[in-house]
Amino acid sequence: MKLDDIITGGLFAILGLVIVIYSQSFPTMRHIAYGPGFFPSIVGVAMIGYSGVLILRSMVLRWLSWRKGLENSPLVVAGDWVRSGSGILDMAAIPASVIFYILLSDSLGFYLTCFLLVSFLNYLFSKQFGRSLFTALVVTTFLQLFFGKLMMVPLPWGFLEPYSGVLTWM
Amino acid sequence: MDVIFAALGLLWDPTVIGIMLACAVYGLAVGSIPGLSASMAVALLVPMTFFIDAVPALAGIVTLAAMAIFAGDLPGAFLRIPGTPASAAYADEAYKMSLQGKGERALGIGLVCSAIGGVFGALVLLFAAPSLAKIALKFSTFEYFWLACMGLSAAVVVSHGNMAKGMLSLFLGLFIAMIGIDPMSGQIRYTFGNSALIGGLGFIPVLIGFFALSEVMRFAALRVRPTHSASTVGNVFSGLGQDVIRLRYGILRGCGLGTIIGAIPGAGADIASYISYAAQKKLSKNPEKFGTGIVDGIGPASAANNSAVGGAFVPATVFGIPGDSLSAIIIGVLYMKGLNPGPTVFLRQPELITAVFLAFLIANIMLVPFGFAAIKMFKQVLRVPRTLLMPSILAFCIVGAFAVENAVFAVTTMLIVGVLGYLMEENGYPIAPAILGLVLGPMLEENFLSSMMKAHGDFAAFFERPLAAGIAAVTIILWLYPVLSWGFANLKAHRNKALS
Amino acid sequence: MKKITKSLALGVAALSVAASGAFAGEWPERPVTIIAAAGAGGGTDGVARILANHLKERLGQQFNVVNQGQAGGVVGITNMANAEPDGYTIGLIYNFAHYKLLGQADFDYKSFRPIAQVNFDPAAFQVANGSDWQDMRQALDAIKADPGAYSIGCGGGCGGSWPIAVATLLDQWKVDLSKVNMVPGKGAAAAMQDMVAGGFDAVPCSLPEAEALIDAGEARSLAVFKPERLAKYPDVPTLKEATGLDLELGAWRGIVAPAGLPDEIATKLEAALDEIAHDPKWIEEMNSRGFGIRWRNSAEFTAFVKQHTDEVAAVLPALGLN
Repeated sequence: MKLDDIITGGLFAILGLVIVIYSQSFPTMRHIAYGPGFFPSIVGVAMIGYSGVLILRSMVLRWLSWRKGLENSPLVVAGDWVRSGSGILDMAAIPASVIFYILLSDSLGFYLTCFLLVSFLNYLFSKQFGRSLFTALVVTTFLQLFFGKLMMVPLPWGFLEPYSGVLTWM
Repeated sequence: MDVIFAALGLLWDPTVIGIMLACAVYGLAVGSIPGLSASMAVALLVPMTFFIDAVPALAGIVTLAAMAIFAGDLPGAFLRIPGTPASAAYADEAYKMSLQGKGERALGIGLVCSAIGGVFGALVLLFAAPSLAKIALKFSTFEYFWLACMGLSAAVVVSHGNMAKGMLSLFLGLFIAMIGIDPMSGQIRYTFGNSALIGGLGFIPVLIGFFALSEVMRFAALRVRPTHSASTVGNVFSGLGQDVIRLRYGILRGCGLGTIIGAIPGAGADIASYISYAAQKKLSKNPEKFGTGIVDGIGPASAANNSAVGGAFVPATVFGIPGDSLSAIIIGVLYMKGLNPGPTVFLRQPELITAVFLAFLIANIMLVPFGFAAIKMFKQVLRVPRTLLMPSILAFCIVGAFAVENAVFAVTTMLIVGVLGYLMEENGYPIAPAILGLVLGPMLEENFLSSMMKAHGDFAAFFERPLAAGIAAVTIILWLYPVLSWGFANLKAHRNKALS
Repeated sequence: MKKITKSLALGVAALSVAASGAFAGEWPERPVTIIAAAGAGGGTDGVARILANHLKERLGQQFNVVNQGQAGGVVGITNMANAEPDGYTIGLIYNFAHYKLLGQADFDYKSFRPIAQVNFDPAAFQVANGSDWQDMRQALDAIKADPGAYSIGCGGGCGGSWPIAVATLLDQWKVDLSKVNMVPGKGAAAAMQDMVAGGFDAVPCSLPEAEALIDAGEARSLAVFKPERLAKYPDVPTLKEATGLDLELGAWRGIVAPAGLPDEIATKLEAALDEIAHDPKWIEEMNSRGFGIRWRNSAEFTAFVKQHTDEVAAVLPALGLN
């Protein structure tokens, strides 16, 4: 998704403004006039400044080409993927599957959540059912055994907790 | 010399050799898998070090570090995803080379320069650690403040192109580092009342988001997907000698910069490679070629990240001061093994600490054959279709983010930053300055506030100490250099005109 | 429909009763998590891991150490307080009272069920080798005479164990704490280095942390804040010898569970820890890694965390840190 500098610059300017306003609520350190708000306010002001440069430049360029009678590019140019339903699905699937993991890994457990996530994305991209499931199984089992079991990363088991021993053959 | 032989004797032991080999393989695997970082791999090894002796434990860890930092180059060159943050500085450069069918040159120079840098760092450790540490003892927060300022100026150089966008990226990185409890004042900043944000956005999850998740999204956005990696890898070593000889000064500079930056608390291998890249570009006769796929962008930076690991061991072993997250863990293991870091460890048990340094030296020499084998193996991995590879990489990213923080929120961090990184790259905002801001921002702020508190709010204190004033002068000249050189050139042209 | 719901509810109730009965009787019947609110490799992590090994030997279940050091420990300690009080999540806690007083966290001593204290490391007062201060009394008098003239490095945040220890001492010496220049930083080792470089006049921290620079001849320790000298550092005088004040100040660690832990589990865990704390193997392991031993049972530890909270609450406002 390509956004014109006016839009991205505007977003940065808003962020800069929020940073500056928020920083005003911080106290100063003992005995000196500086504190936890000092650096954020510099960062915020600089952000506003540089986004101003971007916005101005884009506006001037647009005005110049308008004067010449040329057509300006639209403010938002969507990527190729927007033009088809499957493209939108593919694109949305990545963040959606990570959100799925964040929300459900504690109750469904890592093993199941990760397996579902990888096999779904595999199938979405490759459209090969068997290979998708197989790869997902191999990868998830490796992660669970190597990191969960051997390296003792506390990957959640969720409702499979009572069966965790059986599932890892230990 | 006796000490070195005694140390070699300690390493010449089946257990030590076995553990070093196992760690070498583990390091290469972790380094080459996107989402898994060297610091995570070392942190996960800590529980195991409890059951083994000091020498094999530490020899294993340093071997792991050396291998992982190189192996990060592999997915960088083929998938544009750096395997560890240390390879991020030149992942794009190497990827562009592999698109041009020159992947083997990119990896060859990366491998050899990693080994050179690592050996350099190890030799410095072996022969100069205590005397170098004496110099480090002269540095207070005033000096570190100026060093952070100097490091930030690299942000402009690594921006490639639009300066305003590079600066916005830098300030975004500075802002991200501010979220959470401020270690100086204890003030909670920019959490907007959300208690999950109190710990801030974890450094490793942020990097995984910026570099790996955003790349997975870019893959999903493609309408015509490459099923397999386009490039084939030829002979890794062809033409390598010429490249190394041509870049000899750059590589040497990379080694030096890496060792010094590694030794500075707060900055590690990742920053070392960015700064070395920036220095090489700045001093190059054709800086415009950087970012289009040339070996000049890879060699010096690759030497810098491996030598930074050695550099970080200097303050870590001599004073117990961590240079980066990796050496922080190693210090913990040293304490656990009763080898309390300090000058006495060099006096009381010199053969033990020398054995660890020698292990690091050997690991970096072993890097050449092991790395060569890893490149061959990695080619096999690339035969897996991308459509099945990318979802698996996502799974590794989730585990890699979770495992460093032991919290699901790390996965959330990765997601948010990943989407942000994708949008930034789509719109021409470089990521590199944000990483510099992320690391150097806290260093800058903490050293500034600490110095100001010591000086009772008097800014002149930053110029009062001779060392601080010296570094300040260098920094300011560096900043004013573009203006000065422009003015000087104008003056010269003017005079030439007047003369003629 | 109503019937089904009712019988379902009954069933669930019966199951949960059965489950809770089973858990209480046989704890631990699955692996237990020990939260260490610190990164891998540090001191808290080390104590937690040594402890986990001994607990596993005695209770026959895996005890997994989980590192959560974000926000200087706030995240990990918050999770200790908010965990299910079923005995399957416990934590190794340390000086924690300042977090709530500084507005960084919601937990206080009532959020936990203290099981036992296992470790105490005294603070010590370090100066650079070139410092004019030859003994503790001289240092205290100098700071008392002109509190604003000297900078003291806190190591980490100024609410932490070492700065609170030195602030308590200064308070006892009747120094005006509101004028003392306490400067936060990035850890004791970094603060010690900064002191040697001329950045600080004094740095309080533990003796193992200061050892490197003392051995290098760059720093000196003026006193250790404990009634008796440490065996490993026989040359460092105690606070009582140096100043006449009989104080024990520093960092401590102990096991807590979330408040509401059933008594049976608490008793069983305390008994196991009691055995461990008096096991020569544990004492040897702790000493060889430079950790001090201090046992307080549940009742003593409960009283101690309250006292700790009161002490910190008395000093923090004077430091201007609330």
